[in-house]
Amino acid sequence: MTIAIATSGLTKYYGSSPGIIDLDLEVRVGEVYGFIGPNGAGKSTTIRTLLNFLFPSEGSGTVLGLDIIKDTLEIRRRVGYLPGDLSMYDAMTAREFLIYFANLRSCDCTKTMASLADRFQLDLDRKIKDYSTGNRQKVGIVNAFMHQPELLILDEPTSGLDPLMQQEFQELINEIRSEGRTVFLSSHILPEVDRVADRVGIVRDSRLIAVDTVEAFKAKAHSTLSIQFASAIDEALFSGLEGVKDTEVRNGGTVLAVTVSGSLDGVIKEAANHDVVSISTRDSELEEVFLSYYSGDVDAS
Amino acid sequence: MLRSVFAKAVWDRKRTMLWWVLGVSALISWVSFTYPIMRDSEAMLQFIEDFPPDMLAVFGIDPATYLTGAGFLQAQFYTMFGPLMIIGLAISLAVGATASEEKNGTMDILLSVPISRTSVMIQKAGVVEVLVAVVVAALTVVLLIFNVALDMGLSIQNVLAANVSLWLLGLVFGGVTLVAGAFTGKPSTATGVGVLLAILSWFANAFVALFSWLEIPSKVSPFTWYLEGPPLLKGWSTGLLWLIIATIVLAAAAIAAFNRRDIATERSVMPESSKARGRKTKTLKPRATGLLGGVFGKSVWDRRRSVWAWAIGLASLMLLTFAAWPAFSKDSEAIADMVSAMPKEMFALFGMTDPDSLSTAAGFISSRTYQSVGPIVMLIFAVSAVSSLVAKEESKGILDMVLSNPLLRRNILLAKAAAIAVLSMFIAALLTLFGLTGNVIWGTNLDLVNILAANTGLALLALCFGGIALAVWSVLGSGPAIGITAAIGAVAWFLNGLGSVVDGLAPFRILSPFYWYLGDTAPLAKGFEPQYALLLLIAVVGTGIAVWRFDTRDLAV
Repeated sequence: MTIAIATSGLTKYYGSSPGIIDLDLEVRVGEVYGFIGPNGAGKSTTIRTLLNFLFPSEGSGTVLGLDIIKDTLEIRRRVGYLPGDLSMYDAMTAREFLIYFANLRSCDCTKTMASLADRFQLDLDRKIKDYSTGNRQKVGIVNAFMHQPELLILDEPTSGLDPLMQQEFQELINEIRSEGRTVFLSSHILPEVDRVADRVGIVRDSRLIAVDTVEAFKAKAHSTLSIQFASAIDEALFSGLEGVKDTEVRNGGTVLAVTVSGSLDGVIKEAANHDVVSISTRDSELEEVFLSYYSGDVDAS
Repeated sequence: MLRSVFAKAVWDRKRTMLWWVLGVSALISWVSFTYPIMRDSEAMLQFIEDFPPDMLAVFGIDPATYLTGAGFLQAQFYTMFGPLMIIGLAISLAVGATASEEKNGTMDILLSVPISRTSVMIQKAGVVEVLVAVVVAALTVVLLIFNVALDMGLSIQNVLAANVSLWLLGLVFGGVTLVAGAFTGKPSTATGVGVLLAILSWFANAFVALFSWLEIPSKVSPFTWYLEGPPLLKGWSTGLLWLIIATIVLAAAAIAAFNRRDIATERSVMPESSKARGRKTKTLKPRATGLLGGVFGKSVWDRRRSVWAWAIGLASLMLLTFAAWPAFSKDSEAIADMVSAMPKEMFALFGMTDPDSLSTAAGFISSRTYQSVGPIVMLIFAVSAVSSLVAKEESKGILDMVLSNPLLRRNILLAKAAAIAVLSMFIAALLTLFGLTGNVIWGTNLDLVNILAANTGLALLALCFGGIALAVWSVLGSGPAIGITAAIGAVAWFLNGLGSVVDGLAPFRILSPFYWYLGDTAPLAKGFEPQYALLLLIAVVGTGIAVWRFDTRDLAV
């Protein structure tokens, strides 16, 4: 089996308002899949339907080859889940909470629990209600990972974590991937997805509008070069080159701003024929690609 | 304790259960102690012989058996008070089963482990069954001890039958609450449905003798099944079978409903959800925008449902009492005889420190609305309003957000206190309106000033306990505030009641706000009393302490 999560035409309405519409999702075993979109796009609805907290209005799905409704118990046995809107039993200490959940899974997770807590510098012996948002999130992360599930479904896993802990989390995800396990994570934080995900699906207004590898999305990104020459140059030399989208000259023709999609090779080679003083680049990177999807500039692919 | 969903839920409730066991034991002790007084009373014997049996039935009294231990306990405890407490316990436990976890958001993470929803529901229903059984078992043990100690002559077999029936009665309404909770995921709806059905089925059973149209509803009332015999006198009955069947059916329905639910969403899976696709999404307009103009308006708006529920509940109770009066008044002399024959201790328990007045309209109508149920309802209303408007907002961090606005702490607190005051007065005003109407319709000739005074006093009583709750909250914080205020209320209640019959406690009675309100005269039989000012004073002082403390203390998170 090479498919970890598959849905076909999965649709969930809340009364008349849509949660997710006609979702065809495919997450492969061993990959880290980033499910991204703005708030309210349908990410959590999808995840909660996969775990059978919600019943689909239409369509079907499988997780680890198992039907999301019929085989939900077996799915939940093999999946680690971190809720997006994390609520836990406030009156318990983190340790009590985690032991309770380990018991409910009939898993002897004490060792992994301790090492994960260590790793995230989490003191387990305080009441959950006394933790800060970040520390509560760590408890949720330990709970999701401690039974070493083959698939992790994580709803906005790094929200509330400080940068150091976010880095730790990314390392954890990379280890999971190197062990051949699968991660399905939702996020609206782009750099996070950029750093850990192999493939990315973008949801907007309850629909999945684009799926591709991070590299492919990056290739679609434009970059803008700003080249200063010793003397004025002819704009036309650059505007005809392959991949050049836009050119503009300033400072009496000595500064050229050129927007390029894809490879910079042609522009650099042409510039080398002239006396170059300095080059600066500004990457629009993923951020702008995603923003264009978010805002609806790009239609469904 | 952390082995299973069941074990954790039981463990979580250990302290609450201790209070229930103590409370129920105290109650059955009180009732048991009044039995010898009753048994040895010549006047009582006389009265039972003279009084029309129909009327006695409404009091739950069977003349043939009342002077036996079993008949007495059946009438004084197992007909109304016992069921009331056990049903209350079962409903509160059943709400905690799934609805509370859905509302708190913990159901998601709980269901992420490989447990089936059926198993979760069975374990949670098991918690209700076992914990109600624990309380009923305590009750049984205490009763069996008194049976020997006070020579009550109960058959052990029948005591068991009565308590098993009581347990099952609780489970039926616990089951109703489970179903409602499993279907809606809302604790408030679940409680409402459970309480409403309990009241309706009690009503159908209790009033079938007076209203013939209740004949059919009373047949399906679990109270009728429960009282068949009744078990304390006749032992095991077939009604028990119906209770068992109802419990099982309800548990199965709860499992089915929970299995179909979309967890932590507004509604269950409804068949029309797929049809709804084409429909346009409605834009929800913010309701009552005018009320959201300030903390005061928002607080009033938040409590609107609770206020209506309490006000309508109390008003209906009062109208029922009015409606029953003409029938009773025909035998008012007999009632007077009965009252003088019955032990004062028993009335005192229900706040009726003035039992002789029961034979008058003012006393009779006061007895339910202004002496027993009314004051307790107002206490609960005020304390729960402080709990949700102030204590919970602080512990949930909502106050942090409110205070991030340029508002003085004292103004926020005063606005909330004012909201509670206005809402209490609203309940009292509605009661006044119903009282005036009832007075005309049933010709009870109550003094108008007295009606006004009784209701004003009731509102002031709520304010008084609201003030106490605020003060306790400001000093001790959100955690213990509600429990401690409730405990103060309970002590005050018993101090007033016991103080009227136990000489040693009499001097301390003046410490109880209930004494200030009830005194030794039924509220409808007196006008504005100077002690009512004390209620207001405590309300003002309590709020003052709260404002002063709240201005200078750390906000808890």
